[in-house]
Amino acid sequence: MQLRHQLGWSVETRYGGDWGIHQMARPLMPVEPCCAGGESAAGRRAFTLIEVMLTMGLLMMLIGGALAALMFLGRATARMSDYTAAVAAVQGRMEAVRAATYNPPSTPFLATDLILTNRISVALAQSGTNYLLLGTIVTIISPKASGHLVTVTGTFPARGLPVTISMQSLVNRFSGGQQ
Amino acid sequence: MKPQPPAQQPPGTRPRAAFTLLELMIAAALSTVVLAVSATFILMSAQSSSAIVQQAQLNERAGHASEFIFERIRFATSITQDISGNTLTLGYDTNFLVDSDVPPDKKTYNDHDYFETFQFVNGDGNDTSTTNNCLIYKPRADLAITNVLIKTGVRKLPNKPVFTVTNGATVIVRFGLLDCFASDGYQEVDVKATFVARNRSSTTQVIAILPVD
Repeated sequence: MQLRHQLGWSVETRYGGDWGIHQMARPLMPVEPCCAGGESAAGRRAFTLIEVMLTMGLLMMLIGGALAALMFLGRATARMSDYTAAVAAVQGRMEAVRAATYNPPSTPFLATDLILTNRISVALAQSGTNYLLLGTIVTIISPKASGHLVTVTGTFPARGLPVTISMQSLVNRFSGGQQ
Repeated sequence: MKPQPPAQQPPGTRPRAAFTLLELMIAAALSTVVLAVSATFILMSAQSSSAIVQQAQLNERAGHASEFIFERIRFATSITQDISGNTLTLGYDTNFLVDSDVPPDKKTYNDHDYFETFQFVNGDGNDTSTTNNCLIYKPRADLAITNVLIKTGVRKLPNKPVFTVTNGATVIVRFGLLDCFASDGYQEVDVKATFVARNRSSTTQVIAILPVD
């Protein structure tokens, strides 16, 4: 107030702060006409550093979240692709057993459990020279009262987390594919 | 110094401040960022859709070709392959009431009256360049008529022939299909199938567990 008395100014602060000089009754320089609310265009309150930093932080979090979601989707898609290929391989093995001639106790339908282990490779790489998915398929053929229970289990170390797929089917002389 | 009088405004209107250069630049930069993010999402979505469609088409082509080969093998009376494993030749009996073998074997159902072939063809002599590799079917091996089963993207599996005949009645078919449109990523299908002819000799009646690799 002492400043006002000395210079003869009339100072109004809209928010009660000590830096927002909005209107002068007798300014040194010409001032733009006021808006309807009594606020000049040049005297509007700017963003503080904290506000800008908070906004940028939120924006970075948003962008980071979106990128993480995209990366997760990419990994999930690749994993789903591996899973589909692994299921096809296991199903193919099951069909191969079902297509074998059923004449117990001739092989492979014995009077005791028969365990077959095979290495299998699926998902050919783009170069065409190597496979992306190498796994193991274990086939167990167990005699049961109504035929033979076939259990095929495939294990593939796909993209970090191993994929294990298991299928079961009962094979007898009435099964599909038999003569 | 006397203050300037306010500019004359039409009655009923409010004076508005214009955007500063800094405000415009910030707005333009933010708009660019938003547009870039939106464009990236749209592009990724389009690539994903294209990849899904292409994968479905590859699956369809591979399934159709395999099923067709399987159907022809089932009714073949003779099955042979060439040394390279690129060509599969199937013989058929057109008349089950006539023994046309030379010399006659007194069996009317196992003659080889005509032959059909399936063939893996590379257009440039190089199996690894897949764009011009195709799988063709000739309904008569002695004629020039050729049907293209899969016209592009066919490739061999590593160190394996396309066709392998094991005991005159079992055929192992191995091939891959590659998406030649690289912009939507890498899509492919591998086919490893074993087919058994129904019209086979009595010595091959017992089928063991068929190989899958």
